[in-house]
Amino acid sequence: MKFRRGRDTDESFTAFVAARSHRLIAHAELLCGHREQARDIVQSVLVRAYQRWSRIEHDDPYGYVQRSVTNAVTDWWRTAHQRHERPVDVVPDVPGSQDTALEDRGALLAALDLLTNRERAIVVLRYFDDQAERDVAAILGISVGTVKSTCHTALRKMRIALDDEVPRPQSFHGTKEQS
Amino acid sequence: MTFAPDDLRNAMNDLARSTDPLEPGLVLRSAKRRRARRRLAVTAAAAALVAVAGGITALRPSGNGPIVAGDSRAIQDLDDSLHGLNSGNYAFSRTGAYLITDIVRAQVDVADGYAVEYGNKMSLLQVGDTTYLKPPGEGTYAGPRALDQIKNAGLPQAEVDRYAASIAQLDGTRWLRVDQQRLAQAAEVDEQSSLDYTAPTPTADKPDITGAGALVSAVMTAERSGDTITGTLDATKVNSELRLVIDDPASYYGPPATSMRYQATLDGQGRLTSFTLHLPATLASQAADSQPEPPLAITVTRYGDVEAPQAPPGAESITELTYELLARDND
Repeated sequence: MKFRRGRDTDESFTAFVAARSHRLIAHAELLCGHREQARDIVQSVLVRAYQRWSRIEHDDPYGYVQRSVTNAVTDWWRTAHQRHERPVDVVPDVPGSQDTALEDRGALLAALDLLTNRERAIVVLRYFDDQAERDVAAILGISVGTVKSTCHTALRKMRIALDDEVPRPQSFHGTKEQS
Repeated sequence: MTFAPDDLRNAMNDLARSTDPLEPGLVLRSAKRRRARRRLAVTAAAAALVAVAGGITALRPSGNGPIVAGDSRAIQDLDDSLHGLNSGNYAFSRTGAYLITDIVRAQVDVADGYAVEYGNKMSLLQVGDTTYLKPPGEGTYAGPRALDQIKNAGLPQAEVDRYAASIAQLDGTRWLRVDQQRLAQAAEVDEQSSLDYTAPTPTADKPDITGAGALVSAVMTAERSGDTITGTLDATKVNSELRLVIDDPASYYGPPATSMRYQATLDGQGRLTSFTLHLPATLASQAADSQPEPPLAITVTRYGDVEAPQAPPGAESITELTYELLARDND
């Protein structure tokens, strides 16, 4: 029985990684702006989640892992400076191809990089994860009113930036407000 | 990119669609390794990096002893072949152990010391009561980028100098005088470290650190032809604390875990010269990238011919900060 249970759990886990990890990585990359860091964070979260996968897998595993990724990125924000690991390559390298999606990827990440961490988290949770405002408020431990006003400010910043064809400066991470 | 909430939503989803997923099999393997490490941490003394005194016990198969399907004399020959290792003077190499870095070469003279060089270029050396470490020279603090980040972090110059000295100690060219207990503590920190996957220390009570004894104790069938013995062993009977095969192999490999093929060779005096364990090609979990794993291979040489190691010239005393960096030098 033990063997059977372990095999089923492993199959469920690897199927989840194959089907959903790309979206979790995107979620993390949108939050932290750093593709390789995002992959590391998601892998670490999945490795930890495996330890209790038999309990997670039947109860919204994506939601569980996604919340863990959000928390992990938040921890990374808090500790990156102390660990001297703040990335200097603010915007991931974007190949100079004609691929519209890739060009948008660079512009999107550059615009997100203009936001404070809290603004960024709210935008990602609202528009990538389609979370309701009250759910975003619960995840981040803030009021619904703060979600509304912060989201409004963030979108305005992004709109201005994107209308101006956002530059990709090297200094945003170093001067970004920590929220 | 134009900008409206739907455009933002679409751009984010485009980014997700163009993102490669993680390799499921690799994540599963990392997850199982973490689980194994955490389980081992519960039995801390035996699992510690350089278990100074705790010792490692090689378990015999439980029940009524091995089921011999073949030549029962061959199993006795395998048992007898370990006598050379138990004399405590030998050299060996090993590849493919589950949670221990490959050992390029090791020399054991248990009365006076030992030297182990790992595949990641890290080396551990004990001469009498003094232990020396040469870090692998790779990982988080290798190369100029680590120090550049420290310099750019706005720290006081004295702090930058302190980091610079410790990062230099990790550059892989220097021997450091270390405290074994401190290394064990660094390995127990829940961060990835090059110290996490090192072999136990040979002691007078447990002179065999090759792992051959634990594998032989799990042999279920054996057949001898000349100086070669082949058969199967039950990986579930191999003491998991030795980290030679994956923790809970029945879950990982399925039924083949209890009948893994091995091949051993003996020298003219009946001493073990090699032991190769072939790991099942098919995983029970059927991970998407399942591929045959390389075998666990042990080669033993120079019985009774290993001289006591010499202290390396110019060794430095390790600093407190270097212990801290070592605890996460592969993170």
